[in-house]
Amino acid sequence: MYCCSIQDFHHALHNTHLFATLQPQYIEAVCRTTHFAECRAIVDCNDVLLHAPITTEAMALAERAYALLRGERGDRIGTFRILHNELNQRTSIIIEDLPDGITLDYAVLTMSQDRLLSGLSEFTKRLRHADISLNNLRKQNIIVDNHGHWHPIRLYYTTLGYGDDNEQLLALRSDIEQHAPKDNTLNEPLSAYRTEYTPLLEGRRRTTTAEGVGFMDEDGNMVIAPRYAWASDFDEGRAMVMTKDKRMGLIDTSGREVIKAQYEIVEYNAIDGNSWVRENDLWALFDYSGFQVTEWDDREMVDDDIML
Amino acid sequence: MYEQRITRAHRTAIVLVVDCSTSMQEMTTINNLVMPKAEAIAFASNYLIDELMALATRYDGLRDYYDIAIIGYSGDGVESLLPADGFNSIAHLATIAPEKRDFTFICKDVVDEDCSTTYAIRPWVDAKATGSTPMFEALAMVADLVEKWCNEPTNRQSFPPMVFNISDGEPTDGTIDELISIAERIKHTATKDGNTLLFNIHLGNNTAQHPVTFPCEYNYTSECPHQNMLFRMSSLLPEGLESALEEQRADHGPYRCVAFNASFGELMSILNIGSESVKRN
Repeated sequence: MYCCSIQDFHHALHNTHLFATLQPQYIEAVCRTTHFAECRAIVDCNDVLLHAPITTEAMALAERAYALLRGERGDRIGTFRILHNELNQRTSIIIEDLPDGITLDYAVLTMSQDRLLSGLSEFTKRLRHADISLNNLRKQNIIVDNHGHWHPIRLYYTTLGYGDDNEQLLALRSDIEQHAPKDNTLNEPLSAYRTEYTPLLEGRRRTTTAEGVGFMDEDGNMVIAPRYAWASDFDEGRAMVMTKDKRMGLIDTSGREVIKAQYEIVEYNAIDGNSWVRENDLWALFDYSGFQVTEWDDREMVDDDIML
Repeated sequence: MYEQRITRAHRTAIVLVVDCSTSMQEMTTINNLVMPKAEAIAFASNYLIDELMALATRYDGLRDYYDIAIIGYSGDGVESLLPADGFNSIAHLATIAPEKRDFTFICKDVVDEDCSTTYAIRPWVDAKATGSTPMFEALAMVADLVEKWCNEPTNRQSFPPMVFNISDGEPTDGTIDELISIAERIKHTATKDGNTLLFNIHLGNNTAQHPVTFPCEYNYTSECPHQNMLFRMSSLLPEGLESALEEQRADHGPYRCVAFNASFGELMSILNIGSESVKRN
C-alpha cells in the first residue's frame, strides 16, 4: 500500500488541489506518530484529525481497525473514515471526527476523581461489550466530554478481543487516583473549552484560557496575551488569529500583528509566506512582512495578475 | 588532534547547511541594513567563499586547499546551492566565479531610497525562502557527504570537515531522537586529525530573547526542547579553538558549538571562530 512522506502531506495541506476531495481549512502544525503524519483541521465545518500513512504497514493496520469499527462497535467506541487514493491519487488518508471536550491529561487537572473514575468504568464496559482492544490508550488519546463520557481517538491500532488494554486502563486509573482532585470544587463546566492540543511549536504553546487564546513560551510565560477567539499554531514564524468580533490577522512569534486583525479572512500559506486577505468580498495578497502586494479585486483577477 | 595545517596535500572540507524555509523571509538587521534573513544567509555564504578564495590565493595563483558544499533545505527539498552536487573544490569554483553584482539594501527605519547602500557581491548563492524545514533530510545528506570525504585516502590525515547548520526554525521532518541520531552520525565521521565538527546556529528574530553563543558545557540550562536538541546535536569546541573565546569571556570551556537567537553579526563571528583553524595554512 502506498504511503507518503511527511513533506508530501505538509505540502498537500497547503496545496489542497493535491487532494481528491478534501478541502481542509485552518490547518494546524503537522505532528508525527509511529506510522502516521497527523494534522488537525476543519473539514466541512467539522473539527477533525487527518492522518497520512508514512510507513508501509500503516494502512494495513488502519484497514484492519476500520473493518472492526464499522457498525455496532463503532457506535459504542467511535470510528473513522478512509479516503482511498485521496492524496496525489494514490495515498489514502484517514479522517477522524473530534468530539467536543478536552483531552484526559487536561481533564485530570480540572475534573474530580469520582467523575473521571466513573467515566473510566463506563468506558471499560463499552470496550468489553465491543470485544476490542484499542492498543493506544494514553491520556492524549482520550477526549472527555461535558458529561464525563470518554471518547478515544487515534483508533487505527484497534484489534479484536478485549483485554490487551488492561495494563493501560490500570495505568490511567492510577494516574487519576494520584493526580485528579478529590473534591468537586474544580468540576468546571467544559463547554467553554474545546479539545486542546498544545505542542510546543517554534517556541510557542497555544493556550486557551477563560479570556481567550494566547501563546506561552517554553517556560510557561504567557508571552502573547490570550485576547483572541481563535489562533492557529505557528508555522514558519506566523500564526493566523481571529478576534472576538471575528476579524482575522497574522501574528509573528512576538505577538506583533504583521497583518492587523481587522479583515474578514486571512489565509496564510506557509509554503510561500504569502497571505490571501479578504475585505468587503474583495481579495488582496499580502507578503510575509505584511505588505499588501496587489490591489483589492476578485480573487481570480488577483491570481491572474500574479501569473502575469 | 585538530592540529593539522591546511595544505594542498592536506586539504579540508567546509559544509554550510542552510535553512531556506518560508520563515527566512523574516527581516533582520545587519550593520543597520535591513534585509530578509535569506538574503543575509546568502550574503554570509558568498562572503565566506570569497574569503576562503582570498586565503587560498598565493603569489603563484590559487592553491586548492578547500572543498566546499552549501546545502539548502526548504519545501522544495534538499539541494546543493553551488553548481556541483556535493563538494566543490575551491580551485573549481575559481574557474566558474560569477561576476560581481550590485545588491542594494535599505537602511534601518528609513524608507527613503537615498538611505540605501549598495554592495558589489559575487553571487555564488541566491537567496531562497520557501516551504517547510526538512533539517533531518539535509543532515542525512551531509552525513553521507562527510563520510565519503573522510574515507578518501587523500583526506585521511587532513583537518576534519566542519559543518555549520544555520536555521531560524524547528525541523519539520524528524523527531528529536532522529535529529540527535543523525547529528551523532555526522560527528562520528573522522580523519586521523579528529572527528567532524558540527556547529548549529539558530538565528533569532530581533526580539528581546537573549542570544547565547558557545554555551559552556557545564553551565547550560534550558527548558526548551528544541534548544536542548540543538545543544546535544553540536560538537564540543576543540581545545585549540577555545583560546579565541576565552580571551573574550569570563567563563572557561569546554564550549558547545551552538548558538541560540543569534544575530547576523554573531553568525559571522561564529563562522570566523569555527573556521579559524582552516585559515592556518
